[in-house]
Formats: sequence, C-alpha cells, structure tokens
Amino acid sequence: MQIPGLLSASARSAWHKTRCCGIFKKLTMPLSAVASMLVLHMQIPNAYAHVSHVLSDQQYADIKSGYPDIEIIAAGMTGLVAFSAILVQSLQKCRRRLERC
Amino acid sequence: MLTGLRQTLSPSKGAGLTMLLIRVAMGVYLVSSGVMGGLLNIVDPMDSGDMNFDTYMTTQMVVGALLIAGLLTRVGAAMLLGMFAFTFAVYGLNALDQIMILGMGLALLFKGGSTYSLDRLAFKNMHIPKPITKKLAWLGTDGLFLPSVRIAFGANLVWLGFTEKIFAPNMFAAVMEKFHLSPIGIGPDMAVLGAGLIELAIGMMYLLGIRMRTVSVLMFGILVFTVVTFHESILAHIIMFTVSVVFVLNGKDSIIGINTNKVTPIMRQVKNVLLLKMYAD
Repeated sequence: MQIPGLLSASARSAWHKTRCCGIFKKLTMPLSAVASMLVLHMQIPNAYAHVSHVLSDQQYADIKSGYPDIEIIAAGMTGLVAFSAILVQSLQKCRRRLERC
Repeated sequence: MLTGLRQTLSPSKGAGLTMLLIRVAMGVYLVSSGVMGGLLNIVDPMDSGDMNFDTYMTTQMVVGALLIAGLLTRVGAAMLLGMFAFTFAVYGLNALDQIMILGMGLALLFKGGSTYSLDRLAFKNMHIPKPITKKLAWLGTDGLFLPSVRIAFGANLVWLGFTEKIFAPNMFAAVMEKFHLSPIGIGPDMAVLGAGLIELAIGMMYLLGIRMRTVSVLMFGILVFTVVTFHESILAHIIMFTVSVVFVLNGKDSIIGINTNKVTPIMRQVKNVLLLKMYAD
C-alpha cells in the first residue's frame, strides 16, 4: 500500500475507534475550556490589539499611504466576485425550482 | 460527533442558538467599539473633536446592550444598519473592512431575537393579525438570515485578501518578518501571495456556500492561529469567530445552490493528479 493510502487508512481507523469509545465527547469540553482559558489569559492584556498595532505608526502609515488607489480596485473586484456568486446561486435555485415543477 | 450535534440542534433550537451567538457577538463588539471611541471599529478610534462624537458612542453602546439582551432586536438591527451606512462617511472605503456587520445586521433584521431573547418574553402574548404574518411569510425573509451572514462574511474575506495581502503585500510581509514566520523554501512575497490566495479561496467558498462545515473549522483554526501568533485581540475578531462557529453548527443554509456532489469528483480528480505527480515512481 502506498504511503498516503496507509496514512489515510490508519487515520480513519483511529478516528473510528475514538468515535466509538465516546472519547471525543469526554475530551472536547475540558479541552475547549482549557484552550479558551489559555487564549483569554494571553489576550486580556492586549484586548484591543490589531495587526496594525504590531507595526510602528510610521511603518503602518507608510504602508497605508498606497491604499487609496488599491481600495477602489479591490472594492470593484470584491463587488464583482460577490455579485457573481449571488447570481450563480440565484440561477441555480431558479433552475432547481423549474425542475421541480 | 457531528450526528449527535445535529440531533441536539434541531432547526428551531439551532436557529435560537445561532441568533443568540450573533446577537451577543454583535452586542459585545458594539459596546467595545463605543468604549474605544470608534464607529463600528475597535481598531481606529474616531476624532473625539467630532461634533456628534458622544452621540455615536452612546448610540453604539445602547444598541449593543439591546442586542445582547435581545430587546427590540429588529429596531436595534435597523439602527445598526444605519450606523454601518454612516461609517462610509467617517472611514471612506475602509469601512468595507467591516462589511460582515452588514450581514449580521440583515440577519438580525430578518430573524429578530428568536428563542432566547427578552423580545420573546415581552411580546409572547402579542397578537399579530393573520394578513401581516402571511405577507411576512411570503417575503421569505426568515430563511435569508443565514445566507446574508454567509455572503457578507465571504465578501469580507475576499476584500481583506485583496487589500491586506494581494494588492498591498507590504503590511503582511512586515508582520511576518517581525514574527520570523517566513515558511521554509518560500520567499516572503510568495508567502504573502499564498496567504492572500487562501483567504480569497475561503471567501469564495463562503460566497458559494461550498463545504461550509469544513471551511468554517479551517477558518476557526486560522483565526486561533492569527490571534495567538500575532497577539491580536479576540474582540477585534469576535464577529469572525462567531460566524465560523455559526456555520460549524448549521452547515449549509437555505439558498445554497452549488451542488457539492458535482464538485467532489472534480476535487478528487485534482487530488489524484497531485498524488500522481508526487509519487510518479
């Protein structure tokens, strides 16, 4: 058996075993509680930090100064992508409704 | 595990929980934004010399409190949408950084407070005339609350992918350099482009509604990584966290039109070609 197949088979078997024993149910709650506490502990001191604050003000201003032109293009492209996605979904929904009739 | 989760979240209970998550996240964000002095923005505070500064901050905090409590939710949602429209006057096109708020506002407007809200308690015995309920049902707005969140979130990710990574790679490159995050064997420019393309791909999947649970788990992982690695705040990302949790819980929504059964064979074909190239011998 090739390596990817072997890996996928062993992962599937491990997944099946843990699911059968209900280990997930028992582990998920305490693990998520611990993870949340850890993340909150790290985050409370810089509750309002953002990636822009990671850089110095000057560095951030230098980078942002190139934005005005970019924003117009990006807004246009985002609008186009979102509109196309909505159009595709509406057309598919219409087609499905017609098929049902 | 997912089967158990699906059984627990029957459609009525699921919608109540979803609306509770959306309301609380949006409310906490609004109150934080009001405390920080930004307009729907907890990163860039407004100029406090603005004539209406106090009005904006108070309105945000009041709407936030209303949403958390689930009191007059639809009124709060309408005010939220009004505030979102106004952010364009303050921040210009930068307001699109928060376009997911539009989706959250629409969802709250369409669905209201739902099960776990003060609205439900206060207006439980209120009689709504039948013609009105019939007309509202005909509009079909009830089923639009999840699609509005999904589409706005997808558009937000596409926008951020373009503006913070693909078209303006300097910021992300500087952050990567600061945290020594350059992946082995890839230059910083390529790494930024890769990150941007991943963000675009996830945004597209949200827009088209493909594999919502898988994509949302991935999104949640990326958010945890970002927050932990770059020491960013959870508050600034609370809406993103909430949206990914909402779609892990709900999966697909009512207007998803893409048939994943048709997409899966194509993806399998791509995987096979890649595996063939990797293990050509």
